[in-house]
Amino acid sequence: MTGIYWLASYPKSGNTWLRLMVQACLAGSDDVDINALSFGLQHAHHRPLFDESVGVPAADLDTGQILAWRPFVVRALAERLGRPLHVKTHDMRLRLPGGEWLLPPDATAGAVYLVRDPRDVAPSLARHMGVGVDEAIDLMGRHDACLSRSVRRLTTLLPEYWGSWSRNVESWLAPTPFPARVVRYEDLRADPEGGLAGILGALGLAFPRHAVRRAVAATGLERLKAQEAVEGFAERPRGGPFFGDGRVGGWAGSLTARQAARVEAEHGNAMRRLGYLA
Amino acid sequence: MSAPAHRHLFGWRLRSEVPLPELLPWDGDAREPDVEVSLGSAPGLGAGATAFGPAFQIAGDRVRLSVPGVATYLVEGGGRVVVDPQVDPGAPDIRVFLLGSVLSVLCYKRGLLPLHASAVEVGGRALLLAGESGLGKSTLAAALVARGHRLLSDDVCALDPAAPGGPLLWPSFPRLKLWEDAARQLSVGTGGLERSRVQLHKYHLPVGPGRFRAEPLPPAHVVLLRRVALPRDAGPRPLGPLDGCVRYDMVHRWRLGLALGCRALLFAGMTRLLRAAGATDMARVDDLDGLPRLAGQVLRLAGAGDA
Repeated sequence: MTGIYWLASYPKSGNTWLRLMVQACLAGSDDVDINALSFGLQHAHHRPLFDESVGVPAADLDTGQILAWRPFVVRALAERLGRPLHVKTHDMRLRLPGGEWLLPPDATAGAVYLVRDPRDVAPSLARHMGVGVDEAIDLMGRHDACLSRSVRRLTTLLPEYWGSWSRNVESWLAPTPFPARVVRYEDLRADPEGGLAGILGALGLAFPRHAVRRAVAATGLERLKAQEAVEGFAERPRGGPFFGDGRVGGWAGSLTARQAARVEAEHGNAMRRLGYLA
Repeated sequence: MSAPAHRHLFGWRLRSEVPLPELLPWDGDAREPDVEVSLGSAPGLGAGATAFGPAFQIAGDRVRLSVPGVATYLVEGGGRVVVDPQVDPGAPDIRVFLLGSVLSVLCYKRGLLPLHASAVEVGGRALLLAGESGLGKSTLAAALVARGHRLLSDDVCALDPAAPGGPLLWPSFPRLKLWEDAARQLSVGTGGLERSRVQLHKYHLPVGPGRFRAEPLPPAHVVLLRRVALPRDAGPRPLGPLDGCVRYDMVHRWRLGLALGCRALLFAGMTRLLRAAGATDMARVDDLDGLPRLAGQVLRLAGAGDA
């Protein structure tokens, strides 16, 4: 069995927390080192992998051409390894101009998509990007948002195609091009053990109940925050702490009524599908 | 169109119908050109060809690279390149791939090992700054040139592993490619500089005649740049020949080299390079502010005082 298991989400929806929980399962330890996180890396966006697999460096290509050739790189990654690989992504499931899927189904073994109330995503994204909440809401509404790109410098990762929050979510709710297990962040917070057990199955992994319980205990947000405060976090070397308080419904205290109404107006359809709006 | 020009590249006499203004004019002997670059059509290599990635086809001694919206390049043996442009043949976009991946193919075909490295002269030998794209090879080379060290090559170096007196590095041409943020850090104005591609803020910085070394040099030291996220993981670590031999990241387009059947060249080249020169794994955080200190560090590795 080969192929890629995607750990997908819009940014700031609990992806890193989930990866740490799985890592803790694999390690079977009561502690997790946030700076030794090796499970679910963003391999599909790894610049040297693209450069060497394609034979033409992404640095010399425009974004459209990089996206067009990324399905090939994903396939090369899946084939080369000869065993399943877990890969994090914030990409939406985008159909490219030539008809190919950005995340090709033939290289896919499975997928989990974490989704979080966009009203909670907005303040977290604002903090993460170092921008105001209104700008974060702008970004979440941008139809063709594509991150990690700059024409002025070379970024570490290749462009990620987020799309808008709604587009991202709806692309993963759709049955094509491959099935994905959609999990609400809120449900995972409410019952991490039960949620994680289901997710592990969808990722082709299995651990005994006690290992899952141990992993959940090792990755409590307070522990992750405490560790980041002392050591920093390698996936977030600059610009303030990565781990927030992860609260469900925290938006009620951090969004203005106008901001909340804007998110609800722009993303109402997808929010209703997920039970975030009546 | 102007007459084809005869130019210098890695010791070859190169005759080109594609304008290559960054290459030095040929001033060597009256030999026939070693490499001919012409404009023409570059049709597909047919059903019998092997694909390497989405852009390359390989069939016998022919290699075809197709970059949509820019050009198709057909390399025949190690001596002929046909360029079929989709934009103005004089556009820098054409040269980006000709002097990048196509140049690498020519090296492999001609028995030279292309290294993914910039190189400067330090004490009569070559200091190599190697590693994957985006690690600061060109920026560091520019900082060393500004300190008075002559440039041999930026981004791609050609190693002749079989040179009689030991491995030699051949110079390419007097130009550095810098992204806008690096140029700003080095106080290089980008006004009036050519962009490598119109849509990218990556600039071609010409290097003056006194600041370029046009003759080959033996290697002094290989610094393999690598990025880490946290300062606690940064620092230099000596690489022995055995560790170094598996560091394919010092080779330019190494997977392509393997696809071209050059495994022996790759292995022999890396082995001989590391036997002739020391090597250091240099893990660093992405920090342009640390450049002056890094420049001092790599110069000491190459045997220079803190020049």
